[in-house]
Amino acid sequence: MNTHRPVVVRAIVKFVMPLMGVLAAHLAFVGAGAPGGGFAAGALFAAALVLFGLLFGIDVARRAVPTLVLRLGAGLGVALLICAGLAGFVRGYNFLDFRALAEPGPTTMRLGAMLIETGAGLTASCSFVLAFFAIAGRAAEIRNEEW
Amino acid sequence: MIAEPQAWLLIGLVAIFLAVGVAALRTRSLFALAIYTAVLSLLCALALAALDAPDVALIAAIVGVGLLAPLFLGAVSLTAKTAAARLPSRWTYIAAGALGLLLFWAALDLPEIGASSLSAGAGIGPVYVNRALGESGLASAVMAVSANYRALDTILAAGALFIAALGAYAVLGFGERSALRQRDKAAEPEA
Repeated sequence: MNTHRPVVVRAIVKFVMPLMGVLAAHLAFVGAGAPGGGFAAGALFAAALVLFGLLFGIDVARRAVPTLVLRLGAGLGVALLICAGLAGFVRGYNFLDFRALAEPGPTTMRLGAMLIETGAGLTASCSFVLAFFAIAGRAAEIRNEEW
Repeated sequence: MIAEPQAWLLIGLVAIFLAVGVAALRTRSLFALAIYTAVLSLLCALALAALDAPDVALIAAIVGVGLLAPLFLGAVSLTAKTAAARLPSRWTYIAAGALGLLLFWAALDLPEIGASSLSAGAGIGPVYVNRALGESGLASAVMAVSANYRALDTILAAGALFIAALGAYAVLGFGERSALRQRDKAAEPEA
């Protein structure tokens, strides 16, 4: 039904997308000791989804990852960040004082950092994909001849 | 000064950057412009990596190439595909060239990269560098700063992204009622 599909690029994207996903997971877990971290992982994961949407149509991408899930994820990330901060108030510390989470020490600081990175990554990933869907989602599929 | 091969790499990068920038200025296809933007971002990321800033380089590469360029492409799909045929006047080139020369002249007076007299080497910077690894339980000082010492900044950055996505959704929606979508629906009734 469609004759305007860029076959070669799609084949490459099919190969590259899983690699991007694996690399994003790697970045998420390696961030404590090397370049990476939650934000980079979230952005890379979003980039993989955006690439998929760009090549296979926004509708297909939105069926794979519903916007409701993305909206929930973006809100959940911010909520997680604020809760990690507010935990200090509950236990009588300052805002964002990670000593409120567990016994004071490097392990607790590490736990707090992981919370912050997770929240930031979740929000970044979902927000990027949402913005892309909002901007590019007006046409069901961007046709080749329109470039 | 920076090590010799590194300096040559940076000079080469700047040369490619200039060439791509001029090409981007002269093209009228917005698609090509989006791709040029991605190339410029990638060159910036390479320069940052050459300057031993892999954390920033990683973010620059992912956001510039993986996210910014597709957002531009999506925006191009909403508008005309070519820019109006209006080349900048002679004075624009002269002003840009003069500004470039001025910047180059100013750059000759920059301190060495990584010099201890830089503002980053004074004040709170060394405190973070010396204490981060012991206090945070992390092996990366960059993440210790972004997630422990400067966690409020990280929260606000995530909040800004969240609000940006919210704004894009509020203004544009997800295109349920757009004219392009109506046209596609009419063209392919079985879809």
